Amino acid sequence: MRVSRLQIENFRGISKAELHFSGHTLLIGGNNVGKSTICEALDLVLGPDRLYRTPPVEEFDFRNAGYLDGAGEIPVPIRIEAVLTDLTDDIKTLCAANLEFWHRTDKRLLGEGGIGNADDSNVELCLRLITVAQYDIDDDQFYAKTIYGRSDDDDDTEPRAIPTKVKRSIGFLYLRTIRTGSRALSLERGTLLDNILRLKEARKMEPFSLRVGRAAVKQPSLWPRPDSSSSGVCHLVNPSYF
Amino acid sequence: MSPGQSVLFLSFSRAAVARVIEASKTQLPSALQGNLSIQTFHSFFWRILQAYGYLLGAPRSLRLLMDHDEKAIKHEFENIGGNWNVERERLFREEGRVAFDLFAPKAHELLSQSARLRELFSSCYPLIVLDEAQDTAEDQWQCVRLLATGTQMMCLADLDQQIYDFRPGVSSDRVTHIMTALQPLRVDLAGENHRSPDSEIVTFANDVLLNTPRGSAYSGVSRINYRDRAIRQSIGIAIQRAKEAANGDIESIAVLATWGRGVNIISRALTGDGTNLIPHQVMIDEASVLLSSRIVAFMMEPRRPEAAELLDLADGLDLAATVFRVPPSNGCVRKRRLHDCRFPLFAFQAGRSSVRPFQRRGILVGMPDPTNSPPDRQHHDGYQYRHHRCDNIVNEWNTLQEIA
Repeated sequence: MRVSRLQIENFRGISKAELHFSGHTLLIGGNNVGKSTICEALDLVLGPDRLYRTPPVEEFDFRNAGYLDGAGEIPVPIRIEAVLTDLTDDIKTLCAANLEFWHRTDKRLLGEGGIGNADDSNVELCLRLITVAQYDIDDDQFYAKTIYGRSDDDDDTEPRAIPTKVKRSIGFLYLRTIRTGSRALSLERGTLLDNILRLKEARKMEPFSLRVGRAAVKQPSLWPRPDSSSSGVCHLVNPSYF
Repeated sequence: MSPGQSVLFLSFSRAAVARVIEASKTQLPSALQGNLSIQTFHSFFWRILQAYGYLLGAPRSLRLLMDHDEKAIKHEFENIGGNWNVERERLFREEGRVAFDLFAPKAHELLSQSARLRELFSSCYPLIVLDEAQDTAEDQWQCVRLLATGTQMMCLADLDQQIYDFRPGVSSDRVTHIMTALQPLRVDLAGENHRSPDSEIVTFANDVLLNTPRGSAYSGVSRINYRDRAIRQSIGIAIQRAKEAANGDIESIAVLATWGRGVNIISRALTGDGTNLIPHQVMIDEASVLLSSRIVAFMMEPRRPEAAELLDLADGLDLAATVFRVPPSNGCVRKRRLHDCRFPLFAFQAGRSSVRPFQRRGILVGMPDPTNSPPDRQHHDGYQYRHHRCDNIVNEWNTLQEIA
């Protein structure tokens, strides 16, 4: 799976941007040109745990702290949209009713009446996700949620946030500049190991996972061996160890 | 199964879906229940349309065109000489309003035009169970057939239970189509009966269907003569039995008649002489009732300020007009109800139109009309039948419907 297009609005230093990616990407630039902003934007729209932080965004995540319009009456949202292509089979079945069609060479979504192009060799199924973050005047709070791009046009109903299960299955992991390696293998929330455990539904209830944590720390032998692929998770959480 | 995959059980009515969901709760371990997706054809097709209908040229956001709204718009539109099929298509393409009858044709259009969509949905459902397969209409069946290339199909069918053959595209050839298209393993369950295992209800129904009465009693089937009292008694017996079967209180019992006068007769019998009323509700065609209820709701809303009085009045008149746009009903309880009925208690009048309800579902009570049966044909130990040939009765039924 990969990100083919990323659109960012009103986020940190960016007022409006559209980025197209093909394969691996290396961003090079001096201080403050916005490299991290792009990574943070990806984390907001794809990261399974990012939106559970309270508050999910802060005043200064909005460009020039502009979370309200000039008159200070209408909230101006942060909007981040990602188009994922080359989808895994799992994502396809999980999101079967929320996919769209992406035209690779035209770099666009198939629109109304586009059924004739659906089987074109330059067209593929894609998953479009949109994170909208905004200030709620009544609650004096920042809220954020990720929705399917598919449901963005439903004028009658407020689109529902996508299930965390879907975000987790996308498998996006943001390794920040510091404490990367060791943190990825720790049992903190949102780390690589935490994501794998949750994906395998081996880490649902907090008390149980705390026990996993303790046992794992005390007995290094419980850690998955490199050769035992996913079954490592199973032996790690086998209740007989406790 | 991988995440997101499930077994799809497709059926016609919401009642059937509710029964299967109930059964799955008792028959399946809870861990597996999530792997079963039980849906009506309509909800399944609606999901496909909501997601991909725009590819056919409709707006991205689709809305349902409810049955009663469709009736009102259609009647008005046809009054000015319009072609409803054209207008229905326009409503879909331009306004994104989808009539129920468009669900299957539009889903079929999508699935037939894109292999990617077919693969997508068949990979979601490695096994599809098709309930009442004999009643699938052409478009419904074509959708299923298109998905069948990528998935495993299980069809449940009984030609004797074909109840939708009055609809366009439903035919008795469907089972043959299924056999040719899918080349399935055929399993005949004719001898098995889990619904009424220790009775001859099925034999009785088959005999009526084939017009070959055997002239002696059938176990599990009883007959009561004399109309009004019989109707009242039947209700009593039905309630008693339903209570026994349900081990307690029951929610409701539906008494179905096949034509308007039948409803009147039953209702009058239940009302009695005024001192012995059996409380009941007479259900008539839904459309005008639903539309009228909107006016009532409108009346109960707070009125707009005086400045907007005329707007208010206009809205009110508009709602009132919609009610009168619905075509005059023939007073029949809609046929669909026969299928949705929770307690299949059939009350039918005077043996006249008896063949049609018999063709449909299980029978608890039948009431031949003693004044109409020649005495020499009555069997004291068994049943009396109208001695018309089957086709006579069907003809008679059609005439009655026309009169109604």
